[in-house]
Amino acid sequence: MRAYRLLKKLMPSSGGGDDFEKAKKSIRLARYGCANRPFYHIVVVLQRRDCKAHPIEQLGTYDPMENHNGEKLVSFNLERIKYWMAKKARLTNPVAELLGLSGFLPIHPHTYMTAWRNRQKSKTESEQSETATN
Amino acid sequence: MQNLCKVELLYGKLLCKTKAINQQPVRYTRKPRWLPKAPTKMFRVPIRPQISADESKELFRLFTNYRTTMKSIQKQLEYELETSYTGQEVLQEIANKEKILWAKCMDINDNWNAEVAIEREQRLANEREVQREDILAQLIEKEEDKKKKLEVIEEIIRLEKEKSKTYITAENIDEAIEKALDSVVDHKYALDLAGNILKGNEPNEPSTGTMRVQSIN
Repeated sequence: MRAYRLLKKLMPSSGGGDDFEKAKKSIRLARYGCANRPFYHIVVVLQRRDCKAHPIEQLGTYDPMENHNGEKLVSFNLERIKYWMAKKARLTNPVAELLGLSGFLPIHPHTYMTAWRNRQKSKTESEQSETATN
Repeated sequence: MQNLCKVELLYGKLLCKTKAINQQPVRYTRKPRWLPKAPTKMFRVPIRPQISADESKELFRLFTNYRTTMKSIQKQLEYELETSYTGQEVLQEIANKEKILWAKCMDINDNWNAEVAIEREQRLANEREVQREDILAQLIEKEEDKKKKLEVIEEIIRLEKEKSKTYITAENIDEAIEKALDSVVDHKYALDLAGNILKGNEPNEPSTGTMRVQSIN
């Protein structure tokens, strides 16, 4: 059981957390949904801090559940992301993937990998179904 | 497992301080570190991901490319951030902005100064007028005082002049001497408590020699 579940401090999730000049920072996803409904904030936090620690700044949101139009909505504050990247904040993989898909960064190899694997999977499935029908 | 359940229940109690009817123990997000491996998973061998040689090669290529591009992007961003603070154009722009702001400030300041100058002149003129009037009033007062003083002095002089008619001078000293010799004054007298002058050498004869000239009291 994590401590934050027991004692929930009241602090803004939009930022204002500890920021030390020389400490490592990372841009990552922080889950702010509820049970069975994930919703993520894209935040800058000190790298050694807990996943739900008070962030330095919120840089965007990510809704991984598709809406009625079949879209996964992402929002970025690109200027601030640029700033924090210039300040050598580390990008976590999911954030890097999202940024790659949004066209801000080159597409992450993970996306390519998942894509070709999905393609292969669908291909094999279709082949299997064909053989089953035949 | 029993331990886990117990702890779970304990936490459940902690979380639900007011006991609801449908109390629900909240599950762990993760199994505690001190618990042993579950007996059902004791002899399970996890399947390692099978990555083919082609795929791994491709992935290696992609990742190396990605890393190099990311490095260059990082450097570019750092450079941009630095130039946004210390670039020549940016500094020039800041200087221009400051110049414009300075000019604006100076304009406002000049306007204020002009306004204040008009006010000040008016105020000073008023003050001068008031001062002039004050000085005039003071002068008049002083003159009046002088006049009064002169009058007092003249009065004194007049009295003195009047008195001077009876002065004994070198011219009329003989006359005065004669007069004095002629009118002998007897200063041998006594005073009683009521201030009566008692003349004569015998005090037992009050009826004859008493003469009330003046009272001391």
